[in-house]
Amino acid sequence: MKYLRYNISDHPRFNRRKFYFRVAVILAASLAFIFLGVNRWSRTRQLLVGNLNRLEEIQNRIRQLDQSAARYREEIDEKKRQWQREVDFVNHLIRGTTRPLVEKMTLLEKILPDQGVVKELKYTQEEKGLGLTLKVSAPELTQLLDFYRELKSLPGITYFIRDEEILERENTATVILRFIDE
Amino acid sequence: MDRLGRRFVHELLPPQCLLLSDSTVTLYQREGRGYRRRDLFRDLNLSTLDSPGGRKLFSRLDEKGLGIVLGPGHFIFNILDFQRLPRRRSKCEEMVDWRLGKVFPDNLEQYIHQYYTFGRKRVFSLLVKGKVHRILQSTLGGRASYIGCSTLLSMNYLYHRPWPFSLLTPDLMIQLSEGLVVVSAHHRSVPYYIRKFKSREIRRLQEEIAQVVDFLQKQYDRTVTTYALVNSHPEIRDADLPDLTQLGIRGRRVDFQECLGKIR
Repeated sequence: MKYLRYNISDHPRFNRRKFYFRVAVILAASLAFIFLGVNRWSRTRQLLVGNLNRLEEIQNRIRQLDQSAARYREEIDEKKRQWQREVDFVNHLIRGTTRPLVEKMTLLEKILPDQGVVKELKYTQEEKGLGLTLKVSAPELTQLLDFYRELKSLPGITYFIRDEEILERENTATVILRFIDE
Repeated sequence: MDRLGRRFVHELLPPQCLLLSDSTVTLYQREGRGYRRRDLFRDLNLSTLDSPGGRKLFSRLDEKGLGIVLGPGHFIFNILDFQRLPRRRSKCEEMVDWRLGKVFPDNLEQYIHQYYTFGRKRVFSLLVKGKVHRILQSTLGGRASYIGCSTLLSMNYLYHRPWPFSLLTPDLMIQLSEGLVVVSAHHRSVPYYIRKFKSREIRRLQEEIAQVVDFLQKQYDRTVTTYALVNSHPEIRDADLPDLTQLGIRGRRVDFQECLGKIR
């Protein structure tokens, strides 16, 4: 049961000593809490300031690295600019030799007769371009004739038939192709 | 503020206390942490404090502070049960006054009313006539720094205990005063029944208590097993008190001067 306080006197006398003691205890506890709180806050602040300084250092380092990366990029660009013409020229040379040859061989592959067999393939460097000796055999003569027709329609190519051998099951033709440079 | 005040502001124990009963005044003086009975003044009561007997009494008192403890005869006790009391003090007060007005026939404005709540469901109300207060103030002036109630002091002494000791408190408090007996029943230290009756003969007390115990069993379904008998009667010695163990309840006797140490 709680304490049932009852005093109907008009002049109650209060226990000041007890009151001040309690107030002093509460004040002391409050001050202790405030001191602990401030102490903890200042330690946390120090930690925070330290972390912020470290963060700033890291940011500066990142900035320096960015600057040096930009400098290197500029140097690379400068070098690129210096060497671009040479590089372009070399690339042009590579493209001029390899690519057209590959393209032409791809075209030839497409127009070869079905079940046809390439029996001989020989390159020769000529004055105006490339020369190619191609010995092809096909089971039907009509297939060979189709092949000639296709060859005729190809741009930048001239050809002539060097010899033909017509047998019952195998028709062989040796064709000389000339690729004219563009 | 009230609650804060209760926790922080304590009253100074008066060095001497007068217990005002119907026809006697007992003087208690502080000794160490408690009080000891020093003197008894017969044929003296509240209304005759101005008489030569009263003046003789005041001449015996020290000039220091004085406490007045009124016997249960000056008070009207009530225990009221509510479904749920409002939290706000003013609303709660309004509700208690309304409820008290229903059971109490007199005009409440003539009384000083104070009440205590227990768990927002039960109210222990205490009424004392404003006249009593006026007489005391006019006779003693600002001398009496404490005017309290002997029944409340006894209750505080017996039942103001921290948990779990509050579970071991007696089920029944019997306060024996001059010509009056106050019986209050408690469950886990919280009062749920209080009765005040006149008992001129000490022999009849046992019968009355037996009736109360029986009533509590029937009405509240609570079995009384322990009691505490507070003797605030100035002229009955502990040896003369009736033995209630015959009723099947065990208990102890408390001298009222022990309870005085509970003034706060």
